[in-house]
Amino acid sequence: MIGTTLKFGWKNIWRNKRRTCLTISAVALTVSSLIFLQSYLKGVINNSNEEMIKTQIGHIKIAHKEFLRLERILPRDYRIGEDELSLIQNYASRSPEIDLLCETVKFHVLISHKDVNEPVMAIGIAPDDADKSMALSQKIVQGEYYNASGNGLSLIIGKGLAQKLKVSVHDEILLLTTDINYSSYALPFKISGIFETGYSSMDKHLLYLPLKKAQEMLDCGQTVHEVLVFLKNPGQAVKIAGKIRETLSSAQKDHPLQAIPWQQDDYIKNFLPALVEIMDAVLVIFFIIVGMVILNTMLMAVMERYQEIGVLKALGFKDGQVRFMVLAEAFLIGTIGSVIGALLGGAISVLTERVGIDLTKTIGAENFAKLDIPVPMFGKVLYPDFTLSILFTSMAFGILLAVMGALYPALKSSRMSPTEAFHSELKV
Amino acid sequence: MRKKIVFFLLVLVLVTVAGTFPQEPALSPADILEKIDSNMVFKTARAEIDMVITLNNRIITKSLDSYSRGNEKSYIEFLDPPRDKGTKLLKIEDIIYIYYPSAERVMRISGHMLRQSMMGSDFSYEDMTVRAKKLKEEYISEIKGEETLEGRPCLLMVLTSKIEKQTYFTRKAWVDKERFIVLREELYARSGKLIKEMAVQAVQTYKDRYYPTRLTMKDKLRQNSSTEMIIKKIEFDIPIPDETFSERQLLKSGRGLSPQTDDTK
Repeated sequence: MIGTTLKFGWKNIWRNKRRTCLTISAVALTVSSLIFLQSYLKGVINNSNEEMIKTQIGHIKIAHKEFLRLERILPRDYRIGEDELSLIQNYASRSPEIDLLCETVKFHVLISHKDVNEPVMAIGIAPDDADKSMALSQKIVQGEYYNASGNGLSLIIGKGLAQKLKVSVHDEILLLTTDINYSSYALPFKISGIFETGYSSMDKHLLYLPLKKAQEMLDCGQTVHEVLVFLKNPGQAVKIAGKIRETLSSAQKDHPLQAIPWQQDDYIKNFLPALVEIMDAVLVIFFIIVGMVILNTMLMAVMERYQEIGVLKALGFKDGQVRFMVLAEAFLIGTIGSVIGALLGGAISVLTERVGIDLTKTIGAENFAKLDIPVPMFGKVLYPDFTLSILFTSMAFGILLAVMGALYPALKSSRMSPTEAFHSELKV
Repeated sequence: MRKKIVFFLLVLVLVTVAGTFPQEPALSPADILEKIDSNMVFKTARAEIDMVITLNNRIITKSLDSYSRGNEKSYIEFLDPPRDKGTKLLKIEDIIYIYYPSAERVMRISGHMLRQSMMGSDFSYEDMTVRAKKLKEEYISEIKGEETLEGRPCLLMVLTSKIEKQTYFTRKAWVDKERFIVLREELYARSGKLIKEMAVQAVQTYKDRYYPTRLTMKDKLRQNSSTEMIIKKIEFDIPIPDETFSERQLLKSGRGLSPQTDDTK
């Protein structure tokens, strides 16, 4: 009996091809856009997460607790001392789990060229180590990464900053800072390269200079502000951070340093979840909108057929059979629509995941430049992150809503007498 | 009884005599500003100054020589500590040229940059290079009352700028009633935010003027920070050659201007 009703439902949906195609299209469109939107938002989060780890957090970040607390203003005074740095370096050389140490000195400078002065953040890096962790050399769009044969007085600056200062490769700029003894210190540098991370804020406010020159400018000897530890297996970050803390404590009980695994970093722990919540809220609103579209389409599709249902009841169809037939039709339409939508949404997501979405083209270069967000969130090119779980949940959502949309008219039509059904005209 | 009558007559005579002399009229707020200006404004000045910066319990002393011609031109040369030695500032009108010996280059700053801290102190470039400001010309003042500050009677005055883009739009000043020196001052931005606090610890007499020789500035936008300025020696209205306020003087110990700084001339 079930098989007969299902067969009957299958035949039924193709009796009015135009109506069925329209309903299937609505389901397909909503499912595909749902898949793409979820992939896109997941991509935003993942890109941001990865970029933060590569450039600012590492798998473990070691710094003075006061530096971490006041990081926004980059206090020069709270550094990792030379002895503490040796301990960390020794531990790293003994630990096969540690892939790389990236030591940095971070400070505010005034960059000057001709009459233009810009306050920016300078990061002193060991060029080779920083390239391994951040792949900075791959981000050079003009000139070259550090010139190994140079005297160390070369630096790389962001593309946005270069545009602001109207400078190009080989131009000389002057960097000025206040050192740890509150003396003003300036050094001239040649621009060896211009980088583009794709993150508007980083490209406008950041420059990288050799670690030794940064230490000279700050007059801080061999000390550094941060050590970013990169692991072969990021999952071991908590364990290794604990060991680093033990090593530091064994040398000095009340040392002021903190070793923070990436999972416990403020950005990952607090900011990112807040961002995920906002994105989830966007997703829920979208779910509701697309849900309403499917519900409405299904509702209309069934209600149009009350008279036809009246005929079926007059021919002896029982209430349950009518209900089952209507729901079966909705299930079939939902399934076909969801499969088409999944193929379409999946294809778009996979394609954009490979080639990326260039925001400067979609929202315009000027508007993109205005996205001056202090964390690497909206890169110039965004790569959605498509997964099969997104595909299957979206399909299930499409089918479920199609069936739910047919539930009310199915119940109503099954309870109607044939006479009532004949006389009904799209009345709820 | 006779004694009482004599005493009464004596008092009467004294009161009458005193009344016949004209009383000095009370000074208006504008007059007070003029008197302050007559102490503070100079044609030229040369000073040897120590700046003692206290920041987060650290004390750093910087020594400098300062030459000023009114408000228009100013030249400062740092002598100590060694990292600062040879750093020179030349202010001509609203532009400051700074020579850094470490870079052997000149940087030119203007506009809002003049409000930045000078060499890590609580004084801005503007504070240090515009020291002969005529308050009477730039501010409207009113007397809000009288207070005693460390034993000295003072007038509490509020000065409001006539100029829109004044860094310290409102100044609350405690003015020494006898010497017409601002002994304490609160400096506010146009928004009403307190930016700095100044207090004078020592005043000296120089011929026809009083001048503060030891004062402390606190930048309220910085935490745990204050800078004491000690004027070890100061000479007023002495001849200072034009050469002092030239780029040549700025580059005297340097090797010359870099190509990009040529256009700062």
